[in-house]
Amino acid sequence: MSKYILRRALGLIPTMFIIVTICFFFIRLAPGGPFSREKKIPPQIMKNIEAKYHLDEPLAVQYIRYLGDVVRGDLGPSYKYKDYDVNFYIGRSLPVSLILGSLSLLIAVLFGMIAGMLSSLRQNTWIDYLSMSVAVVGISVPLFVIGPVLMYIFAMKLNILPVAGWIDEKGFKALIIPVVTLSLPYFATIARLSRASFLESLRSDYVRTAKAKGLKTSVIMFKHVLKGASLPVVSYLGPAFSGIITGSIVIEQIFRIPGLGRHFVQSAFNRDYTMIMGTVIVYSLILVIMNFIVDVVYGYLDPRISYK
Amino acid sequence: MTDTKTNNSKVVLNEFNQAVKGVSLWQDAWRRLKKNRMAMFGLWTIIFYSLISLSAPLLPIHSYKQQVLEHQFLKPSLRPAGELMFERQDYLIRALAAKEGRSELNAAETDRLAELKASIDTETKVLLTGEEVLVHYRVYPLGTDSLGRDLLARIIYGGQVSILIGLLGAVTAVLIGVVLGSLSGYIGGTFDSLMMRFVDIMYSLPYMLLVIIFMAVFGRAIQNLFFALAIVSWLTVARVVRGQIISLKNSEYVEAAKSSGAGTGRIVFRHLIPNTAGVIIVYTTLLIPSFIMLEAFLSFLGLGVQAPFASWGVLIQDGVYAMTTYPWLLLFPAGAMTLFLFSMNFLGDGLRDAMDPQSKNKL
Amino acid sequence: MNNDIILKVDGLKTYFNTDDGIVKAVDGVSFELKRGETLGLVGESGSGKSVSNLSLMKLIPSPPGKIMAGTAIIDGNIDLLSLNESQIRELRGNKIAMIFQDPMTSLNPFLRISTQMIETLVLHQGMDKKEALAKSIDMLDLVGIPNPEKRVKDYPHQFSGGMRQRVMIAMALSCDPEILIADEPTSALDVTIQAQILELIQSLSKRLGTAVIMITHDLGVVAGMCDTVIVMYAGRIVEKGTNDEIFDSPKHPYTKGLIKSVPRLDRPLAGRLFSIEGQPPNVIDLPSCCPFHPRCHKVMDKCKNTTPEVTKLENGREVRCFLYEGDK
Repeated sequence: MSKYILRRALGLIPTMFIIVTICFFFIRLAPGGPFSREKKIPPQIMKNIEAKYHLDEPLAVQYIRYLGDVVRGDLGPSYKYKDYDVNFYIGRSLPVSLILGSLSLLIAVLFGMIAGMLSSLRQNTWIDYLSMSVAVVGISVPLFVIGPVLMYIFAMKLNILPVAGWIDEKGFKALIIPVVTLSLPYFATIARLSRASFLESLRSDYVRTAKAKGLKTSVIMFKHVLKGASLPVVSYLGPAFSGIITGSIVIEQIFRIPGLGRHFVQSAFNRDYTMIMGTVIVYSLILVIMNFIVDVVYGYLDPRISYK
Repeated sequence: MTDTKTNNSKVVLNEFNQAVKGVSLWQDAWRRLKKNRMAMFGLWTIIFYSLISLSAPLLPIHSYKQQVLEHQFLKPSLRPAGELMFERQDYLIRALAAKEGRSELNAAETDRLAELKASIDTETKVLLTGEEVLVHYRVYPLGTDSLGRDLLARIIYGGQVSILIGLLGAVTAVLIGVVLGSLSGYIGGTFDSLMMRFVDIMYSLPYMLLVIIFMAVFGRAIQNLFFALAIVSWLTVARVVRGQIISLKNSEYVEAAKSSGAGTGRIVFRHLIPNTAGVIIVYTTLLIPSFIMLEAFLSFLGLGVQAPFASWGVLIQDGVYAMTTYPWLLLFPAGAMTLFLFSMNFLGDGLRDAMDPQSKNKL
Repeated sequence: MNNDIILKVDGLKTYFNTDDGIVKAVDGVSFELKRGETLGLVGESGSGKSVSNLSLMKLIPSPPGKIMAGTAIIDGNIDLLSLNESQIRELRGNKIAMIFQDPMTSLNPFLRISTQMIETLVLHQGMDKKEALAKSIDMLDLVGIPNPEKRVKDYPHQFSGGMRQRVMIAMALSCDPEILIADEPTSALDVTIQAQILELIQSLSKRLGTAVIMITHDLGVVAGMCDTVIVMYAGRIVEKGTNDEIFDSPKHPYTKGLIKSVPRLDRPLAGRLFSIEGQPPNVIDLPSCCPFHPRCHKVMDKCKNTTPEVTKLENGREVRCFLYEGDK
């Protein structure tokens, strides 16, 4: 097992390498240099700027230099903001996004599993219908509709929650609408997924055996069903995290939260290439690590997986 | 029991006068689908939307790009725009008068209102179509936006764009996915492992970010948007089709066909493709709403469809900024889009249940 | 009246509500089980043999299934069918244990064998975990699992099919049940393993004094180990008798057909093997008739519109056929 984990962990390195490479060359494909908007810069100054950012070197050298910097954890200077480098901006905004994202995922998983379990146990009752209706809403209504509507109702009409902003100014109340909005689609998918897999487990032969042994429903549910039924949810966590990252970009935009997503969109509009690459690398790293954790947890839950 | 030869013309009875039913896979699926009320509701709604979108140029609605600046932010109403304008002006002037402590309007104000009234009845405007109309007699059932454009027309034409992107995107993604997935599954070996390694790496990339960069860097044309979405969305289809093909390839009936001498072509066209069709149809139906969502997501960030074209995402983005004072600008487009997404998802779920009742990966 | 009888089932009816109509899976089944006896329940798939036994344990998925009528008296005083959920839970796995057809899926793949065995013992016998583990190891040893101290910590997928069925048997017998219901325990196993498992069930039940209800579609299984045999068809019992009676002088045309269709090695083969033509009927909205009549070569006009009643013959033998109406 530990050997397997180690090998999987080492496998992350080539993946990250490929991602960094794709990003680097993808960005270089883009028409127009990063400074092309600043019109009529005298050639000498342009040269100085290019030398400062090593843009005058051959592409291969730039690439090697960038790889070396990334390995050392230095994401380079920002093309747009002269005062600080990319590390500074990411370091400042990443915690905000991490809090938002992990809190949303946690809530989605917790309530999604509970809803799925209750619906499967009380199939075709009001609990089932209620949670599945909420789930359908969560899947069909886009984040950027739910967010503004919740904002309109709770912040503007009822005036009980702040309209926008982050905990540093507005306190923990500021978390409520963004987190609920961001977790809703994932709550929905997890609820539907776990309902289906709970139902499948409940109909399985081994649950029939457990019943024939005289076990109570609660014991059957938590001891015999939960482990197997949570497997599909665990394997969904990878895509869910990727979705949460994408979703948080919109959420940060709507609620004016100073997270990584806002930086990302800003830098995409500004063509601040080092900043774009930095954010993509950080996002990818989070995603890759999450997928790794998911794999390990899956292997731990399912004894049939062999670690070869 | 599962005799796939159909004889729906006459009902066969056995010795006990019981009907012996032979139902084909598709008939069976259709029967199950018809029983699913939500799926049928979805199907009819989608048909309705498609008809509206297709016949949009024939419908008696205004142009989606016709601006009438005097008509900005009119509320939804079946009364002519002129009346609403007059009421708004009247209200504003009276409010001003009340503020100044007068209960009666002064002469200048009365004149202004009368002048407005007269111009409402007579003023004409040459529209983009070239015809000249009494402009203040236009009716905006769902109100107007900040440039005085008809919201109903914008929702219908926006829907056209959104549905088209959804449809084209889904079909492209499915085509790429089916071809690569089935090749990968059928050939196997090195090709398969390289393919799946590539798909794995693509999965660990936050690909929406790449789409955003792509749109920001290469410009916001519809074809770029379409291209960017299609290149990242075939991954799941490829994976599913590959899995399906592999499990079918090893299934007993394909082995039986092989052992009775069926060639590759026959196996692929008679056995593999028809048996994968169900999954492919289901995925296409479920991909359409996700494409519409992605497009709307990009439009919401300002990276989607550009003016004068609209899409539901663009309309919702406009609506969000105006929602405090003009909530209908958010509610109508959001409602139209949500209803469509709902219907698509219901239909997709229904199709999946109908075609693969024992499906393990029900969402 | 007779305390030798530990289970007396009377008029059991279990119906399923489906989209196409009410499936009368079990339609009036009555039988008795004596202490230590092995009762064979034979029939084609869908004849209601499994459903009748799942009904006794109240393990019918409901909805769509529902026990409509009948009693099942255990120990002369408790009616299984009128017990509530927590009362029947006390008996399941304790007084009545069950083993199932497919040992691959009947054990929980996510839990160790020890976990699955211990929980029953702790629940019904009030043992602590240590005692229960020791008892589990003993039971595994008893069913012939080599190296049980080590194997008890394994997961089900680490066992072969036959070994898994042995584990199931060990688990089922661990609480010393009075009745063991074996639902096609060997159908999913290799032929060579089948004999071993049947022998194991037989020898253990004799040693522990457990009555066994052996559900099977395989007459060979019945002939080898059962004391009494019940033949079911379309949700009803068509013939009941001792092992010797059924095999030596079958009465019902269906039983006769079944026995004739088994290849015999001890008799010279006379041409082609016999087979019963046709399919068993769909048990939805069955009109009043003998459900076997379309496949019966002794069919009479009466069979086509009247349902035959049970005819009781000497020695408690029963048959449901018009041919024997006069033989009471």
